Amino acid sequence: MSSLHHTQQSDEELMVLIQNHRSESAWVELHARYSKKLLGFFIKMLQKDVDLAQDFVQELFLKLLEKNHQFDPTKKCYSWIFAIANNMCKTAYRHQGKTIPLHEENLQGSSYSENLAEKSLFLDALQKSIDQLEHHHKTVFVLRFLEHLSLNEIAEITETSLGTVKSRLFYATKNVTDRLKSFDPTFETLVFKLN
Amino acid sequence: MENQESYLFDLLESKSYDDLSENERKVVLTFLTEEEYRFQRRVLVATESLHYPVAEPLPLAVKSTKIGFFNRTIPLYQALLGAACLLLIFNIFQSKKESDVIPSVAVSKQSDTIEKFIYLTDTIWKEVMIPTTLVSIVKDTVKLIRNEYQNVTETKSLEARNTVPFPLLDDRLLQSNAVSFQEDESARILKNVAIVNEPIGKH
Repeated sequence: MSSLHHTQQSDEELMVLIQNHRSESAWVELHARYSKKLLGFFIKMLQKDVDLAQDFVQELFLKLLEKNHQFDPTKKCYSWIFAIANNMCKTAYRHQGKTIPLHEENLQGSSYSENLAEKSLFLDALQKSIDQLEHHHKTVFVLRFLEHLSLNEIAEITETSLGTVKSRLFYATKNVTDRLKSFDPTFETLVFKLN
Repeated sequence: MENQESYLFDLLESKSYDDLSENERKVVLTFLTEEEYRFQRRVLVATESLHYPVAEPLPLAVKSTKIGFFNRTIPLYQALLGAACLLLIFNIFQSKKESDVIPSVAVSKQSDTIEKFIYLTDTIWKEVMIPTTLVSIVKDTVKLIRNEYQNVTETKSLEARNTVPFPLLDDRLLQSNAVSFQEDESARILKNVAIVNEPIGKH
């Protein structure tokens, strides 16, 4: 009966239950709603390390329970949860290093231009380029173009203004494309046409 | 500067190069070439095709916050306090138990009069027939003496040896040489004593 009741409650109401009564059932309901989306976010942010992403999801919900007093009921729950996720990724970046060194030679080569089937290599290079972005650029890029959140939502998560989000997105896009400039523009056109 | 970058991003995300107005193209070309603008739009499109592994999230690993009663640790002072409370409760129950054994003696707490109960007893005598064993039987011999009174003028002899009239025996006695009563000087005059020794034949 209580689980049916929780499915009808909003995210903010569930968080209030966790704050006031330390409701385990409300906490489990929040996990059911957000775990998959958060896992996808962590996979994209942590260079497709699924195991690490699973650990991050578990750790996030434990943090959510421990720091439930920090939640402001007047604000959106998802932005608070993703803000925690973003901070976890930022900490991970600080420990692991900001970016993976880009081996330019891997992205160059006439082999790309010779084989149209190497579209996947371009996409792989694109993924790597995204992974190599600065954390604040990568966060907004992933949330916007991979998680498809709105600009306002991204602003709430990153705790910045809308203009800052757009500015970061502009530079993120520019940096990604700059790393892919080694590709022959004509080939890229063919790749995109195949898409 | 940030405003221009925001504006550029809005254009980049929403419009292709061919869809830009003249003014918009001027702004774009201030920061990017046409090829760069077009390439950036394509990269954003290609991002849609990126493949990331899809996994199901693991269930929540709920840490058991419940500690078994016998596994929890408590400070020493709490343990001592608990033991003291137990002793107190035990003593209360013990004293209550003892109070039930004391005989009910009404003692008034409010007055100075002390009531003393005097127990009166009545002695009841009860005759109990104690059966005795027969030790001896006392018999009384009752001799029945028959006094016959003959209302006759006959006299009887004092020397009658036999008061029981045995006619034959009397006759024989009469035949003896007995002194008659009248002639007997020792004879006393007894009333109604008839002279018995009359010779036979006198009748």
